[in-house]
Amino acid sequence: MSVRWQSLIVGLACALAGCGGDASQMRFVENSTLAKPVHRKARAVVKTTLEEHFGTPLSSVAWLKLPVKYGRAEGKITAIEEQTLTVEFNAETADLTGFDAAEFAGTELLLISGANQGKSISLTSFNGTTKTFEMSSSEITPVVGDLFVTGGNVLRHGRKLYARHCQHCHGVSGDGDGPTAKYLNPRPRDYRQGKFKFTSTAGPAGKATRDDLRRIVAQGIPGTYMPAFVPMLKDGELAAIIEYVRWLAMRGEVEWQLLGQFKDEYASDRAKKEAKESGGKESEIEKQIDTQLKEFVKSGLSALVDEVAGDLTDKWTAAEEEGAAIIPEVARVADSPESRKRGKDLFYGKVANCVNCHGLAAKGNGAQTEDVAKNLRTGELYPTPGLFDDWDQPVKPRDLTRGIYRGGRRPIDIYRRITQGIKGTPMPGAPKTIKSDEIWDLVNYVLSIPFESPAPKAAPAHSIAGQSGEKGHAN
Amino acid sequence: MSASGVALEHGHDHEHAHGAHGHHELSFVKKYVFSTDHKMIGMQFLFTTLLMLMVGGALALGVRWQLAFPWTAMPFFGPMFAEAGGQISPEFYTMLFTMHATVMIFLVIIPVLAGAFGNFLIPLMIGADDMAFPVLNMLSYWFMIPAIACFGLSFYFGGAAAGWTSYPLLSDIRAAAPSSGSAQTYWLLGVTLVGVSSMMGSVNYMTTIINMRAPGMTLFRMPLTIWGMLITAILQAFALPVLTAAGFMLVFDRLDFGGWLEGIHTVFFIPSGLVVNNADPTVGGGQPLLWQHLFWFYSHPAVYIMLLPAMGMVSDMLACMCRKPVFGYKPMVFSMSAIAGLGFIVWGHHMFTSGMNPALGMTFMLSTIMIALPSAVKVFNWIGTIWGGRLQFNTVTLNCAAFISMFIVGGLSGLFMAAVPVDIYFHDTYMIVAHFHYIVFGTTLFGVFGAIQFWYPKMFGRKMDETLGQWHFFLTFVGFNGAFFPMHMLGIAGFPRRYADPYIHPYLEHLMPLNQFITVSAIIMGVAQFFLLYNFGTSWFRGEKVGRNPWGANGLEWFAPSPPGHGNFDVPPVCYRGPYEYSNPNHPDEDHWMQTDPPKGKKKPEGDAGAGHH
Amino acid sequence: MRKFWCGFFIFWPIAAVIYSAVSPQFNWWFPGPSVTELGQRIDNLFYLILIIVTAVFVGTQVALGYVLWRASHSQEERSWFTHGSHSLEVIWSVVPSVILLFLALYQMDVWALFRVQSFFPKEALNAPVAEVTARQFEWRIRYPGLDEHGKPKKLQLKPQPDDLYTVNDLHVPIGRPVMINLRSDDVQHSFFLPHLRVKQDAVPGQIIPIWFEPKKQGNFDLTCAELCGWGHYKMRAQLIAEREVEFQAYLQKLRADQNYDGHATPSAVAKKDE
Repeated sequence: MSVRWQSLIVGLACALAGCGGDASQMRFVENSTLAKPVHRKARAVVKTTLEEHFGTPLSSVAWLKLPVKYGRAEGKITAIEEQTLTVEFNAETADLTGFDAAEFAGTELLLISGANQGKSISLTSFNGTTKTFEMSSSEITPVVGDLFVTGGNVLRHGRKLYARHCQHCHGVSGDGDGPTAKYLNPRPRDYRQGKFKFTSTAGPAGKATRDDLRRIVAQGIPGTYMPAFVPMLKDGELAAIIEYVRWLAMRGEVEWQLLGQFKDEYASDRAKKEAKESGGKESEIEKQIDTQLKEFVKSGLSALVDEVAGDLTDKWTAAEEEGAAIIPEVARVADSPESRKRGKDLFYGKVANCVNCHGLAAKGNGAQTEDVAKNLRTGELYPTPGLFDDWDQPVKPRDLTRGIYRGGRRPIDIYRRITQGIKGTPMPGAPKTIKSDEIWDLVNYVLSIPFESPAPKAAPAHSIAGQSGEKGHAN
Repeated sequence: MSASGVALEHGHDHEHAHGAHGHHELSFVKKYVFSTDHKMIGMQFLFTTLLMLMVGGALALGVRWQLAFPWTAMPFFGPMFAEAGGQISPEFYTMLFTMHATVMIFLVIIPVLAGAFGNFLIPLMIGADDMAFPVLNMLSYWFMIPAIACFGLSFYFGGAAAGWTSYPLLSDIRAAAPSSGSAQTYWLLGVTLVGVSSMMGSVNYMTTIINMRAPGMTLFRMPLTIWGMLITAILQAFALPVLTAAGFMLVFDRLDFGGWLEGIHTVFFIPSGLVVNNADPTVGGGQPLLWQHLFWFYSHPAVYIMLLPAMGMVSDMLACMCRKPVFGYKPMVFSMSAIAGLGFIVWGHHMFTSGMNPALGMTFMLSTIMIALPSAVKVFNWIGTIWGGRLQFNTVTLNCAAFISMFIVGGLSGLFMAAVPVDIYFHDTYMIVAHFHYIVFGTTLFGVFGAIQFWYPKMFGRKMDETLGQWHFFLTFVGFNGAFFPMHMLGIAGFPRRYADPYIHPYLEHLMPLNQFITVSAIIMGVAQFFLLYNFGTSWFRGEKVGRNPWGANGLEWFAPSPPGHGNFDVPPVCYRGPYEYSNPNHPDEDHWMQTDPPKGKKKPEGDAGAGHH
Repeated sequence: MRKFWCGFFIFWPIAAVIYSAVSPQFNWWFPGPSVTELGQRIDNLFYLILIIVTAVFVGTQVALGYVLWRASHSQEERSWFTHGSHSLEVIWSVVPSVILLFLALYQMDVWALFRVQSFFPKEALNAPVAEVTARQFEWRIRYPGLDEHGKPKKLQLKPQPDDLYTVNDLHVPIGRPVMINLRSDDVQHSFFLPHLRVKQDAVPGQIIPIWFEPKKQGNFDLTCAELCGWGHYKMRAQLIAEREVEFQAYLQKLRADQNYDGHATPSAVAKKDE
């Protein structure tokens, strides 16, 4: 009785939601900083290409070329018992690990062989351990031995979760510009360069692994507004969100690369410039650009897109490979006063030169933070002194006295920050001349900074509130 | 009251009333805009508050939409609220409920009682020609306009988003609720301006009620409405300065002009060494709990400011509709005073879990539980008033009966919160939301709906439509209870207030269908208000024309023409008896006996003869 | 019409009572019985008030319905003429005040146990298990480090180098009263354990001790109950009440994870993270 009553209410509510749900407002936003110098017609080409391979937020396309686990599965039916289908997955074409069985609720099973080839059956549930599907009753009766394709719900599931938990900060396109974003310091990550700050992998091009992303989503970034999403999200949900974020990052990167390719040849002011130089008519040059572009779309575009996609596939795949994560050559050097002393020397020394940014008191206010930095992308100087990251946002070196470590507080985390730097920021990797045990000295020193005496004012003095109640304000 | 005082006042009234006829026609602006006539000011307040009621309601529907269908685009308002993907984003949601409460409390409930009905009724009911300070009275309305403008600016700058209680540090450190930015400062200025307006009203009401009563209108012949207004005015006079001071302290903490001016940057409420949103650490030594004490020192009495006048008006309407004297007039007066007095020493019950001294918790519990007593006495007296009366079910009666019925619920649910241990669990859950909506909406607004219907003939000389009025009542009542009664259950289930998406918490997941039911009820309630607006507007032209006393009521206001002209009374009123002499056996001709009817053997009050004797 | 309206005012309280009575079956009620003894006493107080309130609610609504019916069906020519009754006023002032006074005094000891430090169990007061720091928008938890025998040290007010940290995941042992120190990093928050009926605001600049004694193992919700900004609703965490051995093992695992350097054998969870 209770269930029936509740579903009645839900039914009414859905009817109302249906008349109000204006989904057309949801769209991917163009990367405007990058698109501005590009000719509008070239921009249109990029837009169509993206739509072809990625679709729109509400009907996304799974581009199988990309290393994204869409939750797709192909296989064979091995047994049928009333509404229950037992199946065997084809190992190469199934990427189901880490997802909930719920991923399959409401999906369809498309038969690709046998008498019912090309027809689909709706599924109500999937049991991962017994490998059985429950199908809803249908006119089609599959036969044992039929081949099928199913799944692909991960993106959809990921998008739903993303819209609920992430979108208001990270934006529909992952541009880090949702409605809440403008109030946050630091700004939410813009995924569209495919860059993530805290990774376990090597090199400036080292992509984030799934585990890196999982760690950040699960535990949050201390000292920022990125909250910890565990226990809010379950394992399968985390996996789905991470795939969606990877997919968004790849989408952004494809856009980034394509716009970069078009930037020089199809500059937005090309017609004007050429008209000035050659004395021709602007409108004619525009026509010329149009033909040239059409020609390119016909002949060279698909190769370019393939190249771009291939490149980033390689990088993202490489990050997942065994051994991509940095493992120190030697185990942690025991945390002793001597080790810290050696670390301290390195910190203030010329080779590591941490003091340059992090400052004499390690408060993140070194000499470098007073200088005017150069924008490496445009070659221009930034308008204000201080450090900037690849997203042109001002960044401050970490105040190491506060004991807050955004990339994690485990020795391994600090070790990776020091050896590899923080991607997309001016924090560089340590020079190769510094050996593994010296890095550990540095780690030991960094972890001891908040407790150095004379004790820095790390935490305000607190009083215990109790019966005496409100007497205790700080200091 | 001394006879000489009475004579003096009467002489004054008399002169003025006659003088009024000699006035030349006032210009449009003087008559309708910058009017000093208490009736026009009252109606200005009434129109403004009805408009704001709709605004506040729309904001509430935004909140309800998000709770029922989280993260989907809202119909009608969706495009207005939509930023990315048509969602109500969490900081926008925070702003929605903050502004809903702000509009409803500061721009609807407080001004509709004290501003609209207080202004319109006080001089008429005590037989004065106007307020004691007409210009001050006019200003009290015109200070509402900059207040509304401040709240509007607050909207424009993103909306204050720290709840209507504006607890620091969320409301204090700019970085903590950056979506509020300067909006929070404008919000505080708005509240302060509302305070200025209320204070002007309060001074005026006290002076008018104490000094300008008609001859024979002793304190214990005053209708309970006037008692309610007087006690409210006293409450405001004593409580408001505290809020104003606290408001300025918070503004001084917040103010940041930028540039060389910088700001004031006091730290009344800010402890030292806090790093919020990676801004510089705070320098401080302030105490955030101080605000809670100061705020509730005003805002708890303010709850009674939002209630007492309605209690008075309902007493008057009930007596008239039942054709029966109010049961226990003096106990009613005393219990109202007791509520007001106790109301000053219960503010701490909002802070049981705040970390204040636990010993204070015990004393505040005792005083809070005891404040239930006068409220109970009032309920019993209202029931006693109906008992043995002769009743017609019209819109006024219905709203009054609903008032009592809802007040019982709201009052009783308050007991759970007054009991500290139980409040540990209920604090900041929907139990609280249910409780105060039963008081502020269920009680006060039903009283106001009744009062609009009841005094409309006096305002416009026409009656409002009865059928529409009953439909409005029916739909509002059904929608109201459908929306707010289930909230008690949400509260018991531990459903916290002010959550943009409660369903991420496992113990709340199953409550979504109940919330959808609540939202549907709230929409019904919202739609019902258009019946009221339509009825209010059309009756102005099409309503049945009535004479001076369409309800056969006793009060002095029914002695004046409908609508009363400038100066109110064409014949100066003299009061001969209490306001509730319905069905008096000594007066067999009619079932009511107006306060102005001279006792047998006396002539109608043409001259001064008999004034001051009774 | 008058029959309809009389019925209307009788019908709605009946509907309200029926609705309230069936609510527990629909789970519109407490999230399960309290898992602490103190919480059960709070529940008992709630039910005591509920009984009184229901009786008064039914009584007054029936009285209201009755007088409405009587007044609207009055056959008499005139209403009764009375200004009230002194003895009635005395009765309905004295009786409620006795009940209310009883209610107020009856609550005192539960409150004292919950909040007054001199009533706290001594063992809990002397050894807080953890410090819980609320910040926008998560709960950061600090356990004291472990000594050479693997036992927790005493929790210091200031962070220590060997402290153990988690986020949104508070583990406590069952079977003994435990106390935590509550702090806030930025604005006010409120530490709310609905299944334990515990709620206490976290006030910046103060450390507020809270104690509770979970009677059974389980995973309970920990939420924020004081508006703390736009992400207020996001502050979901869990309280895991487990046996003393499991709790100790958990702390040791936490220490192993926190000291992971890429070489030492990490525990199962750390492996998964890598």
